[in-house]
Amino acid sequence: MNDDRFMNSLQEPPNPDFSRDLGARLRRIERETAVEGRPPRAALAPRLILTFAAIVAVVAAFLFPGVRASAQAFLNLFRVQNFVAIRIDANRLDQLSDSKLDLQRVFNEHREMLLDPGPPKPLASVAEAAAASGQTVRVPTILPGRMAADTVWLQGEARMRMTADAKRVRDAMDLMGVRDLPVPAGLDGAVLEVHTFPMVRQTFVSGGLHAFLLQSRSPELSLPATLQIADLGEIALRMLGMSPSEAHAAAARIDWRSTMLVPVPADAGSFREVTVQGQKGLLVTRAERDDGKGHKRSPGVVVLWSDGQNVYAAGGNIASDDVLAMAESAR
Amino acid sequence: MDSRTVLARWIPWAASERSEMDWGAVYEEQLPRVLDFFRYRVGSRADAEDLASITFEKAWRTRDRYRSDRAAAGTWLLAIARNVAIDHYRSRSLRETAPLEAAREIAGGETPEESFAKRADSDRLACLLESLAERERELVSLKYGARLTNREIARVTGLSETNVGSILHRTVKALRARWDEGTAR
Repeated sequence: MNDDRFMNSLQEPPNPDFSRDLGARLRRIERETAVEGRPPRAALAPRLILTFAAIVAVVAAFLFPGVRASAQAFLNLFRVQNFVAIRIDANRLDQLSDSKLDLQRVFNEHREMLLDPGPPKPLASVAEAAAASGQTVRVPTILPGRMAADTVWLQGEARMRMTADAKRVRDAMDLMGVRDLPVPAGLDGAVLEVHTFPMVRQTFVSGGLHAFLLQSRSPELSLPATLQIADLGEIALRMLGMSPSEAHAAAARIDWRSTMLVPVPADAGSFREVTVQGQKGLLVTRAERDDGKGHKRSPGVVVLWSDGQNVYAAGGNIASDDVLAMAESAR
Repeated sequence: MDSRTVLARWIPWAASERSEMDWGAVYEEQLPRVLDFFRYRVGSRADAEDLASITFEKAWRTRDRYRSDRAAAGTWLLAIARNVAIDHYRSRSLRETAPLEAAREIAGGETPEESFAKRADSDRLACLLESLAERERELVSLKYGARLTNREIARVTGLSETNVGSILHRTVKALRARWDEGTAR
């Protein structure tokens, strides 16, 4: 017997019963520690919506055509089918959300609201939401603890057309330190159109626990066919803090026509790939965090997935296993 | 750096790699290491399971404070495990050699010398580990239980890598000699 075999002879795999019992205890701890946190309903869901909006804004700002658009030229169509998390430095996010870099200002003087969504409307039931939105609304059949349905909201359909201003894009790139990449030729005056569909939001509560389920047909971004999406995606990745070589390599691999980037602050959240209803999804977990300004950000979990036609988000201040079970049960 | 490596760094699943903060995966991957660390550290399987449970429960209650940019999850868990082991020895006399006693029971009342060759390898090694000094036993636990490299052990314990290697070499040699001595009887 050699030394390694001799010295390794005390190693043994965990007893399955022990492993299972300890795993269950750890999940309970995860649930308890989630309950101890502040309800994320006020922070997490709006943040999610803001994330959608921010991503659309980023995509809109940097993934648009190098030629002047016409209705016939809108051949590149962006639909969300995949979610890709990008781990970025928290300071980068703060910088991106800084008022000096309001991405919407890039289009401020050239925005045209073709269809105003209006404020979100409370509805009496899921059936009413289905009728109003024109879609089959999924309802989770599994809810953690004693949660029960609370409210149903509908955000209306929206269409917006925007015309790019190359100088403002250049300024934004410079502000974020992206000075080595050129603004794509033909950018100035390029037109893109964003179309968001009715979004149904269901909320569930029990005591201090809150959860939600959002669903909507995938938002669409129409782009001219001549667009070199990967080149523009590279700019977006650089804006999010990737190094030049990394952004260049990653931009070539990402399918920019179907992938939504989700920035995750390195010090405040984690993410992992999950499977929801047979589809690849993204689970983002945010730990409680002091933002350094006297405010504590509450912990929470969100899972994002798409079935190709619709996008979904489920989350709350509950354990990730519970969020996944809720998402999996949505029928 | 190829694009796959780049994506693995920024987008873990793009290269079929899991996020460093996948706690379910951390549990699956680290439970055997932590459990074996305690098997080498305290000998008794029941004690090892108790101490591994304490370690993971402590870790799970404080995991929001874990900083992945400062230490790997395995290193962080082993730091907690080492403290749990210290607490364990503080609360119990080091002379309570339960594993050795248990091994004697397994041997059916025979003297250790008579039954030594009959025991399972793990029981024999557990008995031999009982004879080690505290520092040697911890290094063996980190090396063969937690499967750390000498460099990682040096980082965890504060000893030099050379010192770790020397101590382990000497310790394993002595254990092996005693093992062979028992087998020859």
